[in-house]
Amino acid sequence: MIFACNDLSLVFSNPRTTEALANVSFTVEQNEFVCIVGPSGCGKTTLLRIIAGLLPPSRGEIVFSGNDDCQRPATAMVFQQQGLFPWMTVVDNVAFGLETRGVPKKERTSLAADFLSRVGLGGFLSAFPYELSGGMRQRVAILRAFLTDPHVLLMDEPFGALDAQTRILMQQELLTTWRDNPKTVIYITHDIEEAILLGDRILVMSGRPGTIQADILIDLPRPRTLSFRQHPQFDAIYQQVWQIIESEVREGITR
Amino acid sequence: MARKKNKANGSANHFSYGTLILVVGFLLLWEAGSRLGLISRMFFPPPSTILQTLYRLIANGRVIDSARATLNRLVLGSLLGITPGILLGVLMGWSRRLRALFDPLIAATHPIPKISIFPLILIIFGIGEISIVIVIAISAFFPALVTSMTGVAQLDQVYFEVAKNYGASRWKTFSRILLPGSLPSILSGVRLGLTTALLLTIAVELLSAKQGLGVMIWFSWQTLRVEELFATLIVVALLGIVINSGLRVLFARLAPWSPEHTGQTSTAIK
Repeated sequence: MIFACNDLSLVFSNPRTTEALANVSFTVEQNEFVCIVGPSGCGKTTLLRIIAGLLPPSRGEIVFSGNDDCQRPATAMVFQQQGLFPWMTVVDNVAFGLETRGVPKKERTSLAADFLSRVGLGGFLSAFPYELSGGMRQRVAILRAFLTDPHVLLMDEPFGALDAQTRILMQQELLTTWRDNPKTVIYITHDIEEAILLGDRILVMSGRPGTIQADILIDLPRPRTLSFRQHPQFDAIYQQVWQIIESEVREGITR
Repeated sequence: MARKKNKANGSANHFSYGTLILVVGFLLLWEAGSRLGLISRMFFPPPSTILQTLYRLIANGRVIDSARATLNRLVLGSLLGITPGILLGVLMGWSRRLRALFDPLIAATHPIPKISIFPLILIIFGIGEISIVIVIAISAFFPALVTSMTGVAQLDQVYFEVAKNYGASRWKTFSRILLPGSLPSILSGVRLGLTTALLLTIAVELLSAKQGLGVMIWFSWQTLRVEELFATLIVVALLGIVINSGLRVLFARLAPWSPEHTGQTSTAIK
């Protein structure tokens, strides 16, 4: 086990008391890819922000047990959008995680440049984010998180704003990057299909207050590609997840 | 996923022949009207005469000396006003506590037309160059402060969250996120400060100075040398244009990623 959430709860008392998260507990193994799936408003982003240290929980704790190297940060997050700094070039953005760790400029720049070149972004080192498409920006943001080499990589619907076709390619690239640079990942999505494609495990959340309803192991072979959707187990898992969240989604559009 | 190139579509850079025709037509009408006596030749001398006067004023050095005096005041006053304005503005944008402390003072003093406190400054610092520079500095201080403060305060929170999540120290957050992130606002603070300072420089020169473009304007009015008045106005206008477009070019080099140059607004990306 590398990471554990123990009994996390979060209560907002403003303007009236709302319980955003209640008794969330789970553990994650080294280099495991865990997807958290839930309908919008179930508190999955809130949970991720707590893990990222951006929001203190009302109760409970988060334990990182793999602290072999305290130089490495606990987490690095890929935000939904806008995560890249518009004033930094692509290479400086990717090197930012190393910069905050005090890696000298020459070293971090060459590491970032190498990393970018390996996925075919070598021609964009000195481009600014505004010169890139939305998909490319997210690729760069993901590379930054990987290069920062945190104990746990956090992703908050990184492909949520992209069109469906681009998203397919991005998912494939993410899986390749992850295979070549094994990391512990917690990935948030509302897309059940995406969760099954990417994850070793799916945590299904429901909201008000946010709780974990199911912990589903996805014991399907890798590498997974588009054809993997025809796998008999795919449908079974899809149905299992959908049944848990269906009523809540229905509630959300009829209220 | 091709590289998207966003062409700046700033309307200020667009040149239209229609506008040129309009301007030339207006000048021709003026020239003809003045020469034919349809409008008063005394108050509206023909543009050709004004240009000749301008050439004479440049050749005999009068307008150059005056422009130099004006520029000296402008630069000195702006430096003295814009520098602390931006420093305080950035700090106030950065620290909620500083903002709470100074904001009421700024809100109360900012709307005062700065030319109106010139007599007060004369009483304190005496008649002379010091008072002139001080009133210019004060006028440049406020727009520089308010613009840079707003820019810092409105910087998207997500950048600070990324910095925090990636373990950036307070100094890194300041130097790598806050300062470059608000650079476009700081630069427009500089431009606004300079524009206001130019306004005040000419205004104060009209009131009280021994040399300068404002002095020339006032003097030519009092002696009814209207063609000199117009010639000097051309120089003042050119000064304003050069300052503004010079800064625009400089800023495009300093912050090429700024929404102002890329034609994107930050809300459009969201």
